[in-house]
Amino acid sequence: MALKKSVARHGDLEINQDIVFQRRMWRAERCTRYFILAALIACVLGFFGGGGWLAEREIRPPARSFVAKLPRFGRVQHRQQLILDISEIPAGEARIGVDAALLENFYVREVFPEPLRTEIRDGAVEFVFAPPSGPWTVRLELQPRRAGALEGRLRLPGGEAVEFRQWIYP
Amino acid sequence: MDSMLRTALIYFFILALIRLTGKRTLSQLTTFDFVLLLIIGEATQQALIGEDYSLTNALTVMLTLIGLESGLSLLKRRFGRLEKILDGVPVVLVDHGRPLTDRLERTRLDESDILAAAREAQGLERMEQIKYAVLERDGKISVVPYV
Repeated sequence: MALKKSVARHGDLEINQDIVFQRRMWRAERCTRYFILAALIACVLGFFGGGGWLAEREIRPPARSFVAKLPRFGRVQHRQQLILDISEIPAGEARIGVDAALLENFYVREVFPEPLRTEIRDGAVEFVFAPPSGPWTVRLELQPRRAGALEGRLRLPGGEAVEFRQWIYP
Repeated sequence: MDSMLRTALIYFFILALIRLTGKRTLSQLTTFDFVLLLIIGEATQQALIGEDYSLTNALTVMLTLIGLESGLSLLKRRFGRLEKILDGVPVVLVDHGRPLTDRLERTRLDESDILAAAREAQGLERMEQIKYAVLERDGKISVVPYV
């Protein structure tokens, strides 16, 4: 391996100047500035999770019997809220089922209001609540277990389901 | 393995960011730059170790960082092109007392920066006394006066 490299000259100065390469680097620097600006705008809009103008999304069935609000993007181990606004609840106990895939992808850290009991049925966990009077809001605090495209499914009272797929950043 | 990957990702991200935001960005540290560096360090630390506060994880992170650093320095010695990409090349900014304005603009410098470096390093008073001024690879300005 040759240790001594040939040194170019600029006038009397022995210097390894490479202006062609340097011009390329300046172009790359300019592109980086645009990239940083684009990344900052994406952050403000909420494309990297953690809130922002476009960070939230809503899932509404055609019958408009419920609205599920959840973040478009998440971050691994970062807690997020899934809010269910349910307008039509059949008489009797109100049940919300959390399927196995959701439990595999997310920790369910908190459920509000507090369920009366928890049941396990067909590989899913069911939270049983006291029958609400009128429109009902349930908050689930979910914590993604890993990065990637994670999916989950919730069964609502009346047999409807909320299915979602969410990109989780590492 | 997970912490090694995270460490490598953060190492290359910081390397690319500092390299591609211009030579002088962090070369001449002001007090504010120093505080900024500390904040960057704090923000990075959490991502590096995650929720694993074990000694083994800390040692893995350190070994990965030092391994990457020494591995890259070996590669830079072997491949001149890589050295240029990672460390940059020196750029002549003043040639026989004449400031090269296009280069000064691109490096986000001006004549007052050159004169300041000339005063500090050589005790020079005027641009005509400078034979060459060079923006070095580490971001500092070196000045060669007329003998």
